[in-house]
Amino acid sequence: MSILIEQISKKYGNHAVVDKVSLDVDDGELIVLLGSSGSGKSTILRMVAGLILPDEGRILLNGLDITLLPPQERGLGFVFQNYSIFPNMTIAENIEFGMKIRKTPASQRQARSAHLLELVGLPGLGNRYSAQLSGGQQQRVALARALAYEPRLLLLDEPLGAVDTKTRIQLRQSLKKIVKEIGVTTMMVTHDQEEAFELADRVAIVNDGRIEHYGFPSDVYYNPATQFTADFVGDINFFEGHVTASTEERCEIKLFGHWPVYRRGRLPFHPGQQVIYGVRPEQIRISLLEPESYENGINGVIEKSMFFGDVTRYSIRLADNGLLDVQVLNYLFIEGMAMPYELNERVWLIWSQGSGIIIKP
Amino acid sequence: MNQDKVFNRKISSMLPAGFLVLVLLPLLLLPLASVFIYALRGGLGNFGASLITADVLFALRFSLIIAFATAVINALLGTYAAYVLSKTRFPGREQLGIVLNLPVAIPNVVVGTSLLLLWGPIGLFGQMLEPLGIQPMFTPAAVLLAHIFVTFPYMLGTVKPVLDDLETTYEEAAYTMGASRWQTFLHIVFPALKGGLLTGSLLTFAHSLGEFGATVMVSGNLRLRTQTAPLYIFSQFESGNIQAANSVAAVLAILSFILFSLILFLAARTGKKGAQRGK
Repeated sequence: MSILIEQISKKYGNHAVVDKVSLDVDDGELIVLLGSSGSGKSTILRMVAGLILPDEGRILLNGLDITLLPPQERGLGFVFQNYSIFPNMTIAENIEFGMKIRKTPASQRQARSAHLLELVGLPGLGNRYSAQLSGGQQQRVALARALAYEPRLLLLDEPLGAVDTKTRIQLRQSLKKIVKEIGVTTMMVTHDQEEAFELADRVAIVNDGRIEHYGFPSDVYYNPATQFTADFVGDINFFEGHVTASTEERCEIKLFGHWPVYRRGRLPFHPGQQVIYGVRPEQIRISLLEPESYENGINGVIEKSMFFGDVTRYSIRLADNGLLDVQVLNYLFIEGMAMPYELNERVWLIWSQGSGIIIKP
Repeated sequence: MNQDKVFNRKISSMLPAGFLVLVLLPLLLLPLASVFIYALRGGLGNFGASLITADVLFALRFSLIIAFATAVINALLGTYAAYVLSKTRFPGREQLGIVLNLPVAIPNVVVGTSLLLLWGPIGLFGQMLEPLGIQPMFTPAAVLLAHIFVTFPYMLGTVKPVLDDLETTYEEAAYTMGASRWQTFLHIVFPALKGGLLTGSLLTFAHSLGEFGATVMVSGNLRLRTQTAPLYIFSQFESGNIQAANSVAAVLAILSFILFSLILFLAARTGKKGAQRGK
């Protein structure tokens, strides 16, 4: 079942919560809407579910316009952040509810609910109530309930937002496995970048009611379309710069008006153009030696170092007074593959000419 | 030395409770006790005899029927009002909520007067109905109307908070699963309301059973026709028949005590169940 969202908007008063959003989801695809709270991502999902009507635009399910159809007639499965497991019903009754409404015979309902409980890893818990289950178990029940009547589309609104980190990681893996096994087209909303990247076939970065970037996770991370996207997914150092040369092979950018860095590849920038140049902390290495000619490099003095367990993060004050963050894997120090650096030590920061992001300001 | 300290601490910890009992004794406990003392002064035989007169039996039965009907009607009206106020958004919602709760603030006797002014023989609607031979006041229907009016906020007050706390996502979940509004109400909302509904109904019943101010205005206090138990007690007191008045008062007090015990028990049980089910 494919979905096509065409230019949908939703305004509350004068404020556009969703502003001309377009998205397409292929049959069997799992897409994730990633954004901070208040970005409008949940509103998009709720408009697809029919819980909110858009002010303009269309939503097509397999080519059929469902924009004004009530939620009851859309045949979708929805998992809410708080799970909303009906407290007056047992787990089995919860799962069977959608089928009961569809007048599915009791024997069929019971067989399906038992099968789904097994699928989500909760066999034999059908007689319990939601309060007797942990957050993670409730999440699985909510998923089983949404899948019970074989929905055409599965919508997940921050489905892992209310469980602890360890459970969340376990649930992520089983969620993807189940959804892919069934092959149901899925739209999920989250604010957790790691979750989005792990689960999504494609990620849509939502900001201020608009889609900033829609693409494959690696594309969103390494070739973000906007400065917001680059900043939102992972950490990044930004510099203002201007393009001084652009050839078939590479682009030269001058930072601080005079310091040259290069980016390999044919890029759509022309000399003289003002740009934002970004490089991620994990793409930079620290060295006491100068960079090779095929590398980018800049020098500075170590101003701050912070230990994070798996990595150490250094802040380096550049000669031109900029500050640049670098991340070093701690096992490199333990294995003797890198030296620990002292505060106030003068070092070179080096990164590949194949990394680095150039964005129009 | 240490024992003395422990003893002193025990005494001082009991002081507030002791003071409370001392204050409550003349205010609540002694008046209640005196009802029973007076009711039983002539012995159990006399107490029983004063309860099986036609007037008493009618008054008690009438009061119970009116209280039951009031509770049922207000359960429906109150739930509907609570649903509208809690789940729908419209201009003037807050103001309507205040208006619906007004009966608590208005003296009951004023409610009775206002009903008389509207439905009585010289009232706005009463005048229109009189040529048709319909006289709503001074009838059982008038008593019922007054009781519905006076006790309406109790049902609203117990059901609306439950609805306010019931997250909309429960209803939305049901909608996405294909349930209509009615099916959602029946299977999801109503079961959550049960506790509040039962508590509200008992509260309404208890208040209706003891209602006096509005009833005395609209009923005409007609024995064997519109005389409720509280009106009977008042009439007997006025005519100096203290024994009969106190016998019925004792019955009402016992009934109220049972009802409120039930309400407290239900409230505690619903609270516990709610906590257990994570509501």
